[in-house]
Amino acid sequence: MLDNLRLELRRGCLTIAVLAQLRTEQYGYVLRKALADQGMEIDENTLYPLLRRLESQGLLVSIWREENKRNKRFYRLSSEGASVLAQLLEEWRSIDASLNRIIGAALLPDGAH
Amino acid sequence: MELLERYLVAVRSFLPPAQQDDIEEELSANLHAQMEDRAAALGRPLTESEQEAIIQQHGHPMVVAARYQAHQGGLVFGRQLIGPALFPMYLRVLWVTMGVSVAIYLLVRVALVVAGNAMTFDEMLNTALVQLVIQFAVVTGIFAVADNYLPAMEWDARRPPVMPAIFRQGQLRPYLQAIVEIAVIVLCCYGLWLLFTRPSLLFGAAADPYQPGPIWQQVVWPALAIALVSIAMPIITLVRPVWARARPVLRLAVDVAVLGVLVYLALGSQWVVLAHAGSGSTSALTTINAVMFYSLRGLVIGTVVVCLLDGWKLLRQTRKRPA
Repeated sequence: MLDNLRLELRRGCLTIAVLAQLRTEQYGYVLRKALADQGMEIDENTLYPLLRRLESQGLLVSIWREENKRNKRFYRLSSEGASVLAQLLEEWRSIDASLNRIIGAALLPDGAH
Repeated sequence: MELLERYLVAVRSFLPPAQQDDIEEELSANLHAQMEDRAAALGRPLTESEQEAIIQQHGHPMVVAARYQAHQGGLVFGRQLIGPALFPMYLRVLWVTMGVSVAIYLLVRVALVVAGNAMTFDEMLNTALVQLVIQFAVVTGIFAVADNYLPAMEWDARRPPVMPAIFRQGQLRPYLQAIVEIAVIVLCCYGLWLLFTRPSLLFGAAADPYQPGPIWQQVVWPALAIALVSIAMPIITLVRPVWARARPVLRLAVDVAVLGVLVYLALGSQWVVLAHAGSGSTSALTTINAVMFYSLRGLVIGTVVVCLLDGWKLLRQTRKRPA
């Protein structure tokens, strides 16, 4: 049950993580690695279709480019995507602040809760 | 990387035709990058089993393709019975099985009615609905079980499962179109046969005093030949798709042949005669023949229009073909 709840929590953060990471242009596999390196593991079967969906919604733009003799699809944030990301980050900070108030935890000097 | 290519072909077979090239190329780039990364980390090329492991971990081709569906539909009844992976195939199978059932049911019903076993509309509706409900329940049950089994389904990355050609999007339509065309032609021929041999079955006892005139016997063989060619056309283009290009030519030829038969009939007279001397009303016979006169001329005009339209389509197609 904990795994399912954890998965749900992560799923809710996926879009914002992907949009934030794509402030720099990347292609699918490199994006997945970059997110994983920062602690956001995403299954490739979730990430790649998500990128296409975000592009169809106008939040990302993509371009095919040859790299290392292979055609790759590079994604980056569109202007609309940047605007949506800014709003989502605002929302994220608001949720974070609310949660902190609800939990009522104070940061200990060493950063642990 | 033959394994990877085989896997990509399998995923492609489950994708909508419009997206196949795009998604396959993107997946190929990402999976190649993953394998090259792994090879670079190991300092050597990947072995076949290492490639298999990456492909296996990527997922069943059907499940992978399902994630790219624009509409992540499913069948839910309390809980999800059929998820997005199988839902598109489920809909196609349901449509085909129910469509074929309805077609067969109607044919059988018509044959029974002609043979004298009439049924009220309520009875027909009830039996038809029972059939459809059973079809729906059986197909849904099978797919619900398959969907439940899908996550744990074992598959071989060396021989990844491929969607059967007949179920691929865009592949089913030619088969269904051919079945419908053949069924319509057969029904029309049957209707015409009834018209000339048992007109009372269609028009009631009032038709008994009358019979088709001798002019109709002269067009039986040409009409039969036209019907056979019309039935053969969809079959041939299914069996030999490369002959599909000849189909517009054949269709135009059939149109012209039908026009020829209709013109021959229209130029005649006495399309309906008395079955026996004094058996019917001469004024009714005159009226029937007058209706035939105008109907045949109307059909000739309609067929000329069809010939012109099909000729125009053929001309456009010929112009579009590259030199």
